Amino acid sequence: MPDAVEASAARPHAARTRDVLLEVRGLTTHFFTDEGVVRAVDGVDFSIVRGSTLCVVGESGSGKSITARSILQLIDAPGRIVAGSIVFHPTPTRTVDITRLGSRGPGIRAIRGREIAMIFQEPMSSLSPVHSIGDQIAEAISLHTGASRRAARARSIELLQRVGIPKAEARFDAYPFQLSGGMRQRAMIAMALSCGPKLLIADEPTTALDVTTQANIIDLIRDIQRETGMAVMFITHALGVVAEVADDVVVMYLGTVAERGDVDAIFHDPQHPYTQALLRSIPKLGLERRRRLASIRGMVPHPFDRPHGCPFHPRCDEFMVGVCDQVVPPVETLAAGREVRCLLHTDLDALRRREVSE
Amino acid sequence: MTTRDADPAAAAGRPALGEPILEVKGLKVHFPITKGFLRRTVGYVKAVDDVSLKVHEGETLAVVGESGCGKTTLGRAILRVYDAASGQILYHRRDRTTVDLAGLNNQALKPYRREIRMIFQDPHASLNPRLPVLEIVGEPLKVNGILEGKALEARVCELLEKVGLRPEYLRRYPHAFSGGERQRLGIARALSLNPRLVIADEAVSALDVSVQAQPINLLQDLQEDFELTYVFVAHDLSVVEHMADRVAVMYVGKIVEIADTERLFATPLHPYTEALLSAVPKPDPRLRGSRARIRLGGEIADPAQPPSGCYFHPRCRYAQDRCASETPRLREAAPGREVACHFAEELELEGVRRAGADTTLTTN
Repeated sequence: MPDAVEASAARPHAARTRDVLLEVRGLTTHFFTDEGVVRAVDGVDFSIVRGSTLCVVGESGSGKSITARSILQLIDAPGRIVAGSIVFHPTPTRTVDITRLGSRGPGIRAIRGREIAMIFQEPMSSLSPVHSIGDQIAEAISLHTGASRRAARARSIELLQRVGIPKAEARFDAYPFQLSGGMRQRAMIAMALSCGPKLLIADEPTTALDVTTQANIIDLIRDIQRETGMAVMFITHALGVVAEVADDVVVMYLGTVAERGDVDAIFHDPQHPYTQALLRSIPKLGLERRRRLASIRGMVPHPFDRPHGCPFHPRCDEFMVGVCDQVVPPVETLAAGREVRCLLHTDLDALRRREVSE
Repeated sequence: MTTRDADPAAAAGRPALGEPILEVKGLKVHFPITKGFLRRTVGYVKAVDDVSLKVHEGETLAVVGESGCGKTTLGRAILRVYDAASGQILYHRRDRTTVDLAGLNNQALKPYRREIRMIFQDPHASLNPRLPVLEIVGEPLKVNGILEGKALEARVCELLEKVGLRPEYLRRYPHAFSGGERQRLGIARALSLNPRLVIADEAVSALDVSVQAQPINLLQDLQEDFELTYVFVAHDLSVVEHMADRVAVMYVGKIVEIADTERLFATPLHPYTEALLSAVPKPDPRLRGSRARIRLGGEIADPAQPPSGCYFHPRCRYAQDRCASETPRLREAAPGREVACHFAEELELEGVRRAGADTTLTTN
């Protein structure tokens, strides 16, 4: 494939493409409710390169958080992973398919919190209010490494210092309500880092924070990444944050991947009308002022009321009657790691022939 | 200013500032901290601490700052949701009479509450889920005894059309609307009494980016159609830059800088403004690393126990001895620009460069 060679020459990080840490193929997570089936994640493919940052962007209801939770088998009933694979390569020689582990067995417990850690949007709801933050971090350490109480405490204080909590020794005994939002998020990060994860999943870690605090948390995650070489899967709806941290980007819409590629391609050469519309709709600092902002018409459809064909077609400016509302767009590969799911990029005749022959 | 010349809006000339519609003078809002069984007052949270500003007719004044800086309290104090500890809120009526809202009781406030309206942050929490749209949007008209029956219905339909919602939705309940549509209901409700001044408290913050543009565009259209004046309380600086004519930056209950949007963003005078601007993520991966970000150390100061001198000095990278002892007053540093920093003239602070000129950001 000549395209692939060109791409890797032009973009330094693409050269590492071989060294994949996590490979998600055809992930499908459905929720079986009394009113019907919600196809929250519906055939998602992407991979995360060791040590790199993957951003998953999308509006509320796009399935980005459910994708992340699926990776850790954190889907509660009535939800279930119904198809697909999540292949994790913690070391070059070890390979685990997380979808085969089940959500409670020892297999997933050895990975969850240890090799793959997660931080959440609202630290207050993911930290226990009745235990001090130090105890919560120390618990994770002794659980996963079998360290003694004293060793776990020392390591926790070290971690609290690392994430920039002043007076870490005194704060060890602080309860979450005694900390500010930014400090709580730092404590969450300290806990996530406690076992030296290979992959950190950050689900909207800065959405509830001020810009100044957000900048500090982003810097912190990036510094730690540089030190430890862990990969980060960063889930967000803020495109500005994506532009700052991502190596690769996955754009999600209604449970499917609309487009994926490296960050420069997504921002400077977006191929899917949804990505293009999203980029047009953000007000940019220092750029056009007082101009009318483009907005995407309509809204994300109700999960029970998924449109036929391409899920984005009712809001799309490039909507082709009789095509987009009939045909589900297949994944088209433009270059290595660059995929788009839009019928504008599909050879429709070839698609029809393929369907007929099948 | 030179960098702005290419901007058609700026070249066409923004109208000169209108007559002041609202003047806040030395406003203080303090919340008591109580302790023990007898609820003794042991101190005060100075949420708004000696704030003075003017709002001019027809403009959009944005109030920005981190959470806890008092921007929401300021907005609410103008509407007398909170009582002022001291200070004046001078409101200039259409007939050129002036009234101090801070000194009025509830009964006397009534006519002014029709002219000053509020749009709330969370469209999911600020609409009563048990009332249909007709009641929600029409309530201010009913309560004030202006319209009822068929006439009320007609007026609500008209308002819905104005904010881009279909009049058939009259009997629907809020749960049937998306976040963006609910925010438009909130706007319709605020507009029902033909206000002059609208205080929008984080009016678009709770919305997804793809729909955020809808209320922003709507607010701008309505401003032109009805000559509205906005006080736009927000923390998202890119939205503020897009919406506002002038910006007031607050830090721990005080205004640290106030200026027109262009100059504030291009050449900030207060180190806190510089740090805030620097923290905004730039939505273009090619600008990554183009400028070192200022990392603000420490936490926003506790408004119950603010630091000595300039409240920002423990986090300020330009702080000198004088900053710890002497509180800087908000003073005029240039025509139309006020700043509260001892060294505003000496510091060379970096603003936001106009990205359009030197980069090619393809967004289509």
